[in-house]
Amino acid sequence: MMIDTLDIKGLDRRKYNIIKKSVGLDYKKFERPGIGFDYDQMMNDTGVSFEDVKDIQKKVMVGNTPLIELNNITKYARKFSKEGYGARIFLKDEASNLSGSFKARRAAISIHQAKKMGYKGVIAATSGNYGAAVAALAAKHGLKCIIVQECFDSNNVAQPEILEKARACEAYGAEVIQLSVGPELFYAFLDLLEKTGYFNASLYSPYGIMGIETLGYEIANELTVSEGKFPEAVICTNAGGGNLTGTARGLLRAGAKETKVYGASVNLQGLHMASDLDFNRKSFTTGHTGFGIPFATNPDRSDVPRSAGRPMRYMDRYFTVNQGSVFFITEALAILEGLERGPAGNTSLAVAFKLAQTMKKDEIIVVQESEYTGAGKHHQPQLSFARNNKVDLIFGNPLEEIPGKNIIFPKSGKDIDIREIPLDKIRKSYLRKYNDKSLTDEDIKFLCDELKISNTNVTKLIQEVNNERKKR
Amino acid sequence: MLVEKGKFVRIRSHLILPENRNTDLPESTQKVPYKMWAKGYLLDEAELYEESTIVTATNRVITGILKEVEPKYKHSFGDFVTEINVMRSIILKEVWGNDD
Repeated sequence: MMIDTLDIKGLDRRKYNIIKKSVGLDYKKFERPGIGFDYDQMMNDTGVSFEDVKDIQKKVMVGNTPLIELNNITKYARKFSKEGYGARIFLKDEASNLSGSFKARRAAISIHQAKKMGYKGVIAATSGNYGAAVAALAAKHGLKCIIVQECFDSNNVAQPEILEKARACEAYGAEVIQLSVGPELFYAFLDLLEKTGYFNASLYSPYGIMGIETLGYEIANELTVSEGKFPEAVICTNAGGGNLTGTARGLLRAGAKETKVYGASVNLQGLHMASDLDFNRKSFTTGHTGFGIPFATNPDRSDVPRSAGRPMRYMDRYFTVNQGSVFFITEALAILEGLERGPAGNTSLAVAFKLAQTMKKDEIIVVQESEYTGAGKHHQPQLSFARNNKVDLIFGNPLEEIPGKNIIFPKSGKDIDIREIPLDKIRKSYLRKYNDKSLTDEDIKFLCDELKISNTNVTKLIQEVNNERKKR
Repeated sequence: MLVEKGKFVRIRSHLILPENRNTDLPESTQKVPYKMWAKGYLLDEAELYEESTIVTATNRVITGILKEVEPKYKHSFGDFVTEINVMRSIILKEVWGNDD
């Protein structure tokens, strides 16, 4: 049956209306003259208040997860810290949510909204934990559910972690549509939305982000009660940017204005996200730079016209870590703390382990998520799969890891190392599309908010972008 | 092999042929068809590896090549990975010291 069944050109023409109908939001009303849109209006115009979000989540076993001090991991990090250093590391055990990850916070609000607006079913495009979250909550609300995954390469080999997520979705009664590698997933997704009339449970809608605000809010309040202060830093595994955005907004809502918000991604530099060959040579299907950097640079590349996940508005610093170090810390979490979690969700833990060594002993760094583990997801099937795909497993300097070629485990906890991505580098990539545009005062104000920098700095960075372009 | 009507099966179809895929894609992706896998109940009896029609969990009727009957979950905890044990020993030794 060698015929095309996906009408890409037609779907492209109809996409605005398909999205509008399937999200129940007309994004045009948030647009402003020039380049910007009113982010605050979009976030406040959903008809759902923060109190509503808390109530909705409470009723479906989402949120209020345990915040635990990782004493033994902290003790381990202090072995490599100088006197007086080695911050206390806490973990928000998000694996305790319905469906096993923080993604249930996002799905809870989306699915509640879908039900309220009278949709018969919901669709989400995700190869990650979000699928299980949407499926579980759709089951709870008696809605039909379709999850669309990028899963197989052209040799019909699937990523084991994604297979496990498909199984979880099916366990909650969802229909799982699995696709081979390629950005055309967006059109397959649009086609399903159009044909079914279901709700688009986008990760990037305002609902999806509002749901995470409770996570940051809980962290700030719980630590105020138990430790008498807000944490010095909260670190978020960063992919599409929603996790960091929602957490930071929740911290601010609780008044934790001084708390630093850090992003952490697994370094997959060199692997092309749309490459059929590279697809099964990576060990992380999310939380990596292949999503983290493009979504920070251009948040509106998602499945809605304006993403509510806008990490550059909130991020204070951004770090990358190699795959081998995340596997190492995943093992440490299990044998030192009795918590079998991750691995992808432990990306920020690996970074926190290193950062804690540079922070004072009485300071607190919170790792704001964990995720369930199991067949396919666990670090053993991930590493076994990597080896079968000719990726070398070696011990050595983690910073020398070449994604797709090898995975380098540290020989000691002291060798876990991280790299910082200067935020100005991401800001300049963001600004590149405006370098030959004449910008109004309102445009510049929008860019200041988008990039969390001053007027002067926006102008300075645009100037730098122009100079760099001329040099080329 | 003839598969009877009503069996739970997995099908596969091609959504886009290689010649119609975007030329901006990496070569390894561009040169292969864009494929879809789905599961559901056979609407009519069909031959394995031949065209068939299924009804899915959301009552959609779709067509594809019949690939698998009563598909099982094949993912697992993988093969034994020595390196995990090595990491475990390193961590335990560094935190708790050597056993006496």
